[in-house]
Amino acid sequence: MPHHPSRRLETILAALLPPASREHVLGDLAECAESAGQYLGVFIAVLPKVVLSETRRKLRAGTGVALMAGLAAVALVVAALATRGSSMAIPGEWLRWAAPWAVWVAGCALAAAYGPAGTRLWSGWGVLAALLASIGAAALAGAHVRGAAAAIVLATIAHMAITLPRVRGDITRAMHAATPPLTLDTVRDRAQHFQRMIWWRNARESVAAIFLLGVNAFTLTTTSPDSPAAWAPPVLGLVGLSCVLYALHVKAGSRRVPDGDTLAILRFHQAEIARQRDMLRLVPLWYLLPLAPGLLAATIVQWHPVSSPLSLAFMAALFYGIARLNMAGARWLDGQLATAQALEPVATPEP
Amino acid sequence: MARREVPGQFEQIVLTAVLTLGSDAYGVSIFRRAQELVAPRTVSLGAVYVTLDRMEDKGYVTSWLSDPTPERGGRAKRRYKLQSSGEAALQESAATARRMWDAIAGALGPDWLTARN
Repeated sequence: MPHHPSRRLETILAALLPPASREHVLGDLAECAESAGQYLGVFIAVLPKVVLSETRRKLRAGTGVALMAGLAAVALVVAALATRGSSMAIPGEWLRWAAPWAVWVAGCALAAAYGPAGTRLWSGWGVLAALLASIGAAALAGAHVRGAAAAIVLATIAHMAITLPRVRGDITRAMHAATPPLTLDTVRDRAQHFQRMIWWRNARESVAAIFLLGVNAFTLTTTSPDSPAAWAPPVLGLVGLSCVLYALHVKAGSRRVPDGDTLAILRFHQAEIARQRDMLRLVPLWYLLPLAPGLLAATIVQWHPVSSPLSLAFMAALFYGIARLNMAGARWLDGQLATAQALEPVATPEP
Repeated sequence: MARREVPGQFEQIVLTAVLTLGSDAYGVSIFRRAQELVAPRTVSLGAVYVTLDRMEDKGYVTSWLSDPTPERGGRAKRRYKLQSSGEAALQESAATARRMWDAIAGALGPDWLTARN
C-alpha cells in the first residue's frame, strides 16, 4: 500500500528538492514507500544525489556560475587589497578571502540548481542564502566582512548586467510556467495565485528594505550629529526606504480575493492586474527615485576619484536594468489583462 | 574519427531497463527492473535518477512528464524513452559482453558460469 505523507510534510520536502525533480521524485516516493519511516528514509538517501545531479546539469547548461566565480574572485581580490593592503603579502591571508569566495560559488551553483525548471535562472532565495553564508564565512575566516560583502554584491550586480539580456526569454518562460491557465473554471485559483505572487514579492522586498533600514539606523547612531555630511546619507536612506515600504504595502499591496460569482472575481482580477501593471510602470518614481538621494549622498560624501564615478556608473546601470525589467513585467501583465478581458463576454450572463 | 562514449555498467543496466519496459519506463519501474537485473546486489533510487539524468544529457534517452495519478498522491510520472543513440550504445555494450562471454567460455569451458556457482 503506497504511503501518502501529510500535505505539510510534502510541502517541506518539496521545498528541499530542485524544482526540475520535484514532481516525479515525490510521486515516485509516494508510490514506492509503504510507511512514513520508509518514505523519509528514501527521501534522505535520494536528496543529495538529486541535488548534485541537478547542479551538474545546470552548470553544463550555461547558467553563468563560472562567470560569477570569476567576477567574485576579481572583486574579492580588489576588496582584499583595498581593505588589508600590505598584510596581503602574507600568503595565508589570502585563505581568509578564499573562504567566502568558495562558499559563495558553491551557493551560486546550488541557487542555479534550485532555479525554475527548464530555464537558466537562479533561485532568488538561494542567492540570498549564499550571500548570507558567504558573509558568515568571511566573518569566521577573519576577512574584512564589509569589504567581502560589498565585493560579492558588486560581482552580483555586474553578473546580472552581463547575463540579463541572455536570460530574458527564460524569465518569460518561467513566468508563464508559474501561472496556471486562465479559464472561467480557474479564475478564482488564478486570482489567488496572482495575489500570492504579489504577497511574496512584497515580503522579499520588505525583508531587504528592513535590513537596509537597520544598516542605515545603525550608521546614524555612530555618526556625529554636528556633521550633516555624516548623517545626511543614512537619514536620506531611511526616508527613501520608508517611502518604498509605504508604496509597496499601501499602493502595491496584495488584496484578498472577494467571495462572489465568477464575473465578480474576474472583474476584481482584471482590476488587480491593471493596478499592478501601473505600479510596475511607475517603478522609477516610487522605487528608484526615493532610493537615489541616499545613495548619491553616500557616494558624494566619501568621494574617491576612481571608485566613486565607478560606483555611480554601476548604480545608474542597475537602476536602468531594474526599470527595464519592470517595464517588461508591465508588458507581460498587459497580455494577462487582455486574456482576462477576453473572458468577460463569456462570463457575463445573458440578459 | 570521433569515438562514441561507451556506457558504464550501471548505465547499461538502466538502459536495458528502459528498453525492456517500453512505454512503462519511469522512475520506480526502472528502479525495480534494475533491481532484478543486478540481483543479488541492490541499487538505490537516487543512483537511478542520477544515471537517467546523465543519459538524457548524452542523448541516450528522452523524458517528459505524464499526467498526475491518484496512487502517486496526484503527482506526475517522468517517463523515459530510449533514443536510437542509446539503443546503439546498448547494442555495442551487449556485443562486447557477448565476445567476453565467448572468450571466457573458450578459456574455462562452456559450463564455466554454472561450474563457478
